[in-house]
Amino acid sequence: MNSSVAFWREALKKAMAGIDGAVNLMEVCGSHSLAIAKFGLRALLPEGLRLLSGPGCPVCVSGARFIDNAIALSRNGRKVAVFGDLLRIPGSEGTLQNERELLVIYSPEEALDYAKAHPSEEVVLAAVGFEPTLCAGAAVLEEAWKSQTENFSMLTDFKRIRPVLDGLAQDPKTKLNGFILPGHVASVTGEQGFAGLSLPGVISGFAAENILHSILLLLKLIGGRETAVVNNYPQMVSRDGNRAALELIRRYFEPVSGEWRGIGVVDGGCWKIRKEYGRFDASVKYHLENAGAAAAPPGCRCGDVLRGYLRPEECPLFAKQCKPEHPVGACMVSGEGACAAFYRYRECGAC
Amino acid sequence: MCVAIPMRIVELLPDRHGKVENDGVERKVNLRLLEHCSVNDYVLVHAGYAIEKISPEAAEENLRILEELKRSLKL
Repeated sequence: MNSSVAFWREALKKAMAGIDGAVNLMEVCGSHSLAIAKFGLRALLPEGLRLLSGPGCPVCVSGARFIDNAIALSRNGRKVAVFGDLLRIPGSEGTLQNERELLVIYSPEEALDYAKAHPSEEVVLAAVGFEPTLCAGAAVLEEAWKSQTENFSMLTDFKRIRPVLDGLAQDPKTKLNGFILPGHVASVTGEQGFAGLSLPGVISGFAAENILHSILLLLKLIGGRETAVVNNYPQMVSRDGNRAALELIRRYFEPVSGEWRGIGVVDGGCWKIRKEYGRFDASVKYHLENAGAAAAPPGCRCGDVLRGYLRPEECPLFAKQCKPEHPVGACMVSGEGACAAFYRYRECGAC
Repeated sequence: MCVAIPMRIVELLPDRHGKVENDGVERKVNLRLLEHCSVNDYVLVHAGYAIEKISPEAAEENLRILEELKRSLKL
């Protein structure tokens, strides 16, 4: 860091002094979870200020049923294309990693290109994510539609973070005072995507100083009892976001109620492919129930961790039965899950 | 993954695609989500798509941070 540790400690302490009582802040982005753990930022926080990791990793909140469906499709001879970080997510009975004929992709476009090049194969793109991946998904869907690539469809579990933020803001158990808002989601949605939140929020980038500065800005808002959204990542985030991307999303997807693994059903928390494009929606094409998750494995507390009720190290399975090498729940599987991020850096004593 | 990478457009390709470069590595990305792109524009790339245009200074800083984060992720 360019500025000294002492500078930030002092600045945060001073900002807390103007506030009565404890302060709980939450970040909702896997990359923020990772950056905070890696840079040991929690060690700089004064007494009474807690930084919680929320449900910011879309891979972690994907339902077990989604994985089960992807596995079933693969076993029934479809060519399933996935991002690498989905491979180890637990379904009800196993993961995708042992399936033989998978196509591991970086861009959703690769799945469509494959389908065009192999017209006799049924190709299914299995994708999860928030707005940044969703707009890529919408662009691919549009191209599939325009090119009439009938052997291509998408099994999607895209999520909308906004209703979850509203729910968490009002959750009496979490007792939140503010949010560190996700920088790349905001690149797409713009600041206006977070307007009307009932708690203060600061859109932040991923540098240590940027995150610390965002925390300081949050404390100032909380101290001044202001509910506002501040853009502290102006180089990447504008007021209106990427309008072309947002229009594309709305054209091909609609918000629906759906399951967030560990949290439950969230009103308007998921995106579904619009009915008129149903033949490119794998859940329609193959008559799959995309909703519902298997019960959490015994002892798994991912749901509580995701909502900030529990810190990762407070879960009885953490670092014992549940480690990155043999994860029990989704929070430990993805490199950006709250538990995985915590585990990686716990020995530095700063978490 | 949530992380988007800043890259510079080195060539515009047909069909609203572009060749982008970062640290000597080139890749083809889809520019469909941005309205007007030119060579030497910096864009934020996620999952093979450019999702936003950014300034060169913002790109530099972002890349520096990403290098640090990347080293911590086992990919």
